[in-house]
Amino acid sequence: MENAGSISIIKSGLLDTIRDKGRVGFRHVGIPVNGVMDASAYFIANLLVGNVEKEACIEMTFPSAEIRFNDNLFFGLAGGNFDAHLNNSSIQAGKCYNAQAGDILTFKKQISGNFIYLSVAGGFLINEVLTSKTTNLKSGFGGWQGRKLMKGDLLEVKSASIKPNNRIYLDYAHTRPTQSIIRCMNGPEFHLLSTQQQKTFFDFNFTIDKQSDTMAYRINGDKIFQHQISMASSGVNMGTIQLLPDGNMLALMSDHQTTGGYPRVLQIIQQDIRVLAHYPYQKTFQFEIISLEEAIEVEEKDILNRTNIAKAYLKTIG
Amino acid sequence: MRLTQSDYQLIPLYEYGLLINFNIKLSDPTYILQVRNEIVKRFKSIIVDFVPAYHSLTIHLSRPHLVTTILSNIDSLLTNFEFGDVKYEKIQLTIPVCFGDAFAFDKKRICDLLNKDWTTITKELTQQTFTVYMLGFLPGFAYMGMLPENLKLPRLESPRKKVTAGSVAIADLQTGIYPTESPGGWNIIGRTPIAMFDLKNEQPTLLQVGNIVRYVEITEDEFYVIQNNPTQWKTQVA
Repeated sequence: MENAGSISIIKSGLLDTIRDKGRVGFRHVGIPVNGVMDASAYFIANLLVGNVEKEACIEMTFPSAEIRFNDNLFFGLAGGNFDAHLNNSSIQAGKCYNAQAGDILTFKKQISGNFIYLSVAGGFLINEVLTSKTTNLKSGFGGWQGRKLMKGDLLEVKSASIKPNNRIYLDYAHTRPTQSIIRCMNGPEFHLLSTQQQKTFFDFNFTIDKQSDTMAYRINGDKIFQHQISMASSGVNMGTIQLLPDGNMLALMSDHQTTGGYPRVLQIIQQDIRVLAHYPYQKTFQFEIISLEEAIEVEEKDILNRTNIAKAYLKTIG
Repeated sequence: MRLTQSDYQLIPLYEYGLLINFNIKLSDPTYILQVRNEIVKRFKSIIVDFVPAYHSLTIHLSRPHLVTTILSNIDSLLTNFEFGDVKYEKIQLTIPVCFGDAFAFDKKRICDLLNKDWTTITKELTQQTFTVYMLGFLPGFAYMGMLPENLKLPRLESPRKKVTAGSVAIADLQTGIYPTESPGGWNIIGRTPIAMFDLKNEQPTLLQVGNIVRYVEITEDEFYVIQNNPTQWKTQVA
């Protein structure tokens, strides 16, 4: 199949990487998933350009790269709002745009959220490594040469099998982290905390520390959460909250290791991980406990919701 | 050996996974793999990933609603689970290690803390075998044990920002080899020229849970000879 064209990075961003849903099936040998920070935005970004089979996107932080379209291409954005412009016109997330050869995509200001997804119709031409196109930055493989995108990189785009609908608008393409409640389930070691600690977890106002990255968000805790619990290393997940001995916490994010040796006190539900992912540093939030059954219901509802959105979209393109 | 209900706990971990914690001391990590194999055999179509660790097995599933339905199925599978003999499955590997000054960055610290000379320590390290208990931390990083009590050391006060790939290290009663360059807090005793993680291989990590590993001392000259031609070193013992 002939390629549809290419894009070029004309100015490096802070951390722009090729991502897909992740490298699943290798956690037993220590290979992490390295998926996306916001799975919903990733889904919407793909749908916008008619990529029914999800394709790798560029996950961008701010300051973001400047990108030139070398050919006529359809693209879409979802996730945060970084005040995107195509040449001199402001463009918005949730719509499909038709860029012409030579058009320049820039992001001017971080208005909300921490991550934005850029999709292209047909998807980027990226080789799969261990079943996935996603980037493992730490060990330097997958994605684009196992690293973040830099000035001078040229990414080829595959031909699309569907012509996307560029008149549609998907309202929920923006992730707005307005809620200040992060819903969690009890983690396997929660019961090892004192009654006072357990209670305080749900009264406390937490903030995210600036020393955070895509491996883990450091959550500012308190002396009251200090502990001396020791445990053997065991499996961890995205959204697992590990309690450090000093009373601070690590919320594990998309690039987390496969195992950890700190007590897993809470597990953020999948739907709220992305809320935390986009959360601003200075703003406080609280944890709220929900049952496994409730968490499963929320997640199943979201799967159904996505299926319906995808069906509705496909109808508009016949 | 047969499992009883009090030997394990079955804990839902999140919307797509559950955790089996073993309360009994499993003398060999391949016991966990036997449990894994049985679960995978019965529920193959819904399991996407698993993580064996020291006393636990994490299982990842393809859909949320499966977590509650599979819990009771796995519970009945585990109750009265009969472990088979483990001896036949073990793969033995020899890994060449240079304990020379060029690579053994924590030699002085280790000698001081253990109050032994380097030759005694390295001899002790090469005279025994280690079992791979789990992989984690980095792709291909194997947690191996157990070291003799008299070689037990704490981790470094503050971790190194950069540890070179191939560095062989010890901490507590464990030993491990850094597959790629990374920060690290273990005591560095030497370096191997053999790759622990290589995407060119069908099986990208050299070590797997249950492997038996022996360190073989090599000189610095031999280190570079093997590094330039790694295929000449046969890691697997027939």
